[in-house]
Amino acid sequence: MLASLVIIPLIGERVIKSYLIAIAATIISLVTSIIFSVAYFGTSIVESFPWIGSAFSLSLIGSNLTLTSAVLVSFVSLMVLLFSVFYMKKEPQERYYTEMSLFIASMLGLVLSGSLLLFYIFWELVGVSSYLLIGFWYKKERAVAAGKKALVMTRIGDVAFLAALAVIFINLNTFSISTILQSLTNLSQPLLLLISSLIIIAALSKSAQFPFYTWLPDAMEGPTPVSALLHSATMVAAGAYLLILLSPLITAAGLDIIITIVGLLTAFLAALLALNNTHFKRILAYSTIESLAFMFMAIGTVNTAGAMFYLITHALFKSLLFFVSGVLAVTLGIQDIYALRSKRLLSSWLSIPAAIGFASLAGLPPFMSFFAHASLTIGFNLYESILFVIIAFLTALFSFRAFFLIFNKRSNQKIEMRFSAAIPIYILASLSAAGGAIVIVFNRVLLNFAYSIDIFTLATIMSTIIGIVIAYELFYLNRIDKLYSIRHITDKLISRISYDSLITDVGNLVVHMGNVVAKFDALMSRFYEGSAYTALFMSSKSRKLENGDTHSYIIAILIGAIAILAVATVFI
Amino acid sequence: MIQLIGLLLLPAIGILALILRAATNARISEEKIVASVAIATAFLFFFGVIIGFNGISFPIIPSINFSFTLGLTGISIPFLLLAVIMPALGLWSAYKEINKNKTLFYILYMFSYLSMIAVFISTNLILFFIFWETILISFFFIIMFWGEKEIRRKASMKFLIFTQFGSLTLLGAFILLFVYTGSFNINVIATSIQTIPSYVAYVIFFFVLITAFIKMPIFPFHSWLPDAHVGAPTAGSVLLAGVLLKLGGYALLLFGIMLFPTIAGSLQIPLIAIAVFTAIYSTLAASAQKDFKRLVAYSSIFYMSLAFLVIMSLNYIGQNGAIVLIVSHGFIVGMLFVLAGLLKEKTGTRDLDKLGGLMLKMPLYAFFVIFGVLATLGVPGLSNFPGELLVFIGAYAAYPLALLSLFAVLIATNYYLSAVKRILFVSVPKRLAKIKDISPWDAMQLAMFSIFIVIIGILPSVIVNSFNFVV
Repeated sequence: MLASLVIIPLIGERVIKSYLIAIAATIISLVTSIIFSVAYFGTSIVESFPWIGSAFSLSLIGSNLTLTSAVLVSFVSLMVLLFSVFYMKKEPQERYYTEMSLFIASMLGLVLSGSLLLFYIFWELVGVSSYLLIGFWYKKERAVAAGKKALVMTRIGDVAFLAALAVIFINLNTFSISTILQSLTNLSQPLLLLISSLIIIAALSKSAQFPFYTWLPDAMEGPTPVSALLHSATMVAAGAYLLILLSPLITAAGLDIIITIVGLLTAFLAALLALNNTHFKRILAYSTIESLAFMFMAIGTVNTAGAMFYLITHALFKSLLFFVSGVLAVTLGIQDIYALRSKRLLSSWLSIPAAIGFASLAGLPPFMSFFAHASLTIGFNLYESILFVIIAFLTALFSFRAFFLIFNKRSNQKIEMRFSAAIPIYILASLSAAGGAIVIVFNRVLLNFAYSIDIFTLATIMSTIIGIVIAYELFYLNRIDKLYSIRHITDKLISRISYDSLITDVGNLVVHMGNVVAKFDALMSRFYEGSAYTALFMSSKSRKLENGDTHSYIIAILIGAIAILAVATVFI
Repeated sequence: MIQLIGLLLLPAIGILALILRAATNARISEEKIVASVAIATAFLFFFGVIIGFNGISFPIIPSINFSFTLGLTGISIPFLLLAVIMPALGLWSAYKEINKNKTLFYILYMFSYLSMIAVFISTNLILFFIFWETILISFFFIIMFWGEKEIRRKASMKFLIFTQFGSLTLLGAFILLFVYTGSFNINVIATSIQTIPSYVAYVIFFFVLITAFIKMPIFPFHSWLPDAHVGAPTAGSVLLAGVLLKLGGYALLLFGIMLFPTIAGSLQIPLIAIAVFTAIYSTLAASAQKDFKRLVAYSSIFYMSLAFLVIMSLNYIGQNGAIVLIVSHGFIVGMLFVLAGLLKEKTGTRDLDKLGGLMLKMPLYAFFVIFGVLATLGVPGLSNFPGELLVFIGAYAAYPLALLSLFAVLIATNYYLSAVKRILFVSVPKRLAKIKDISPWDAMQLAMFSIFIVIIGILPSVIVNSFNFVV
């Protein structure tokens, strides 16, 4: 039954209006997952399929967590597919919708996996579909390079994951997540450390956290619906989801604090980088990295419910923002926020949804995201809270910088309102706005979910508002020029922390080593050939020794005899 | 029950038919004869797998225990699958490429077909060795006469000398086995293995190991392979990678690991270290290749080194993984060589620097390239995934540091994706502006490979259940 959820999106695509099939299949998935999550509320069902023998069985599990995630994935996918009808109108339909369907099926499979092996299978498949979809415009060199970079960087995590699977299987003889978590006590501390570090590496690379984050901004070369679905709402969140599933393992190994630190560091860096960037989609990419880092911080404080809630919230408002950027890219063909400033878009229909999106990004009350922030920070200690307040300030600054620059002043500039673009944008905007109601529902779904409004929440709101005011002063009222010298310094600082060149260097180093090895290999090959020629040469010379010429034989015998006599006389 | 000898009689009939055709100038083409033989053999094989095979034995020279004995060893079936299917799949390429001395080519092709099947079902070591040698000789001529003009002479000589050396050491091992057990029959030898003194056992194991090093191949005996692949015609490359390389693994499993598990155990760690080194070495070397076929050849060394690594892990999961990987690699690398051949045929070059943007001009071809590359990289659902999964689990169980070979997987991802990018994406060079996509006929060949890759990927138990391996 659960398997049907995974299979339905895969059903054939070779018809002219392939988006209709993809959308229909996703609607079926959505309805089925809603029905399942209501029907099996509070219980959990497992479906197992033997694969290579019984030890390597693949199982799907339907519990509150997985089914909620399935609802989220199919819902966001549906929104993205609707938006794709608008965005991808002029592109090759078949390939796009086939690859999207492959992705949606894999993502649904991933969230429903009950065994780590099946999780890994889908984990790889979403990575591959991400590679294919980033490089969708294969004539663009940058898009192709970005796809390759994304796959190679996430493969680092995949390889770590595979190693973790090997360690787990050899020691516990199972892949079932629940069994693994029950038998943690059977593992020695070094093994726990090893497994958790490998899993954390896998999660960091998939979720584009420090030090792997550089692939995600590049991935924005892909089509915008792809960026919205894969590189913001669902796929990149898979890393956080993995840690949510395995959080007892990480706790047992005592590596929680590492996750929090990495999360804080990534959030800080991403906020700075977002502040420095002028490309709308790239800003959204950095903000995605930052939001994922928030989830990691929450996971590090063993607050998985908070992380999960933030994951859901983030999926909604971030897809909304991506859709806004997509509409601007299609209708105006501009992605640069400074270029958009001159268009004076404040009176266009996009400004209200965008305002909701950016306010959610900054975590302003009363939007859903405010509650998500409040639940996220629940387990933070003093230092973490203080850092979070600073990050909240930066977040507000960069998100409203983008907002005030894009939606700058009123004018008659109209943006055509297309049905297929407006519907998902309005749905997502209203969902992001109507926070409180969902919080109550969520409270029932995940029983240990909680949020608190304390002194730090107030401090966060204060710093956010300060950030917004500064952004308004600087960017809406256009006083940026006075800050030129400061910008100069931040630019320098940021070129230090974005270590793209380092990664290129590592890549070049591998190619360089490859060249050296290849040269050595050719040399070795020539050595073998050389020895063959030497043998040939020797034989051609030594052939003369046995040429049947009696004279030379007699001479040879004589020389030999004399030599033997000479040696004998010397020694005797 | 199907008589095993039937699998040999069909190709033998094919050879006779080819000779008769040449003698009588009959109008049926060589390809038709070979194709019908291949199809008949494949059907017989699959039928036999379902209802079971029957061995046969009659003595030839009793005094040295030389008999014509056919039977299945525990691991025959997966290897037989490759030996039966690969020549049939390679035929498509031969049909297009071979246009002179066709009769001779197909007779040699049939000889190697027959011998490849025979090697995996001979349980008498002399018989085994005769067929083993026949394959090498037929391949020597195939590369020599129908290979790529520039390097075929060098490539074929190198191939012959290297692999003959491997055969010699194998022969040495066989003779020692006979001297100490008094039998050339595998099953008899296996039961009387205790009679061999330990120092002789070491020598035998060492001999078999050298054979495996050369045939699989493992550093430093691999340098014949890239040349042989580049020199060989596409059909030859498919068989070379699909079956010949697997002979090394088969010999190692059968005469090394199964007979002398304790010796293998004592040499385990240094051998695993060599395998890990070969994996990283070959992937690094592959990163620097400009010729797509040579790149595939180097990456073929990489996958065989993984197989070697996990054969040496000496545990149940690992051995399963080795065989799944070996079978899967046969299909995948065969497909990649066909793709390389098509590349040369359509564009006139395999130089990655001179290609680009083919996805626009050849979407069907592009689909199969991406499919093949994703399959090699171990994407789930395709056949390398279960192989790699079992391989790394087995390797970890044997020796945790063996997981260092995972770095090679990363390097492989990098160079394969680079190759895809340089062949398929970005802009088309002017020279290739009028290029045409592959024909449905070519696509059918690639689809045949793909079917096997998908079946093994989704249901690896098909392979795993087809053999029983006892250490």
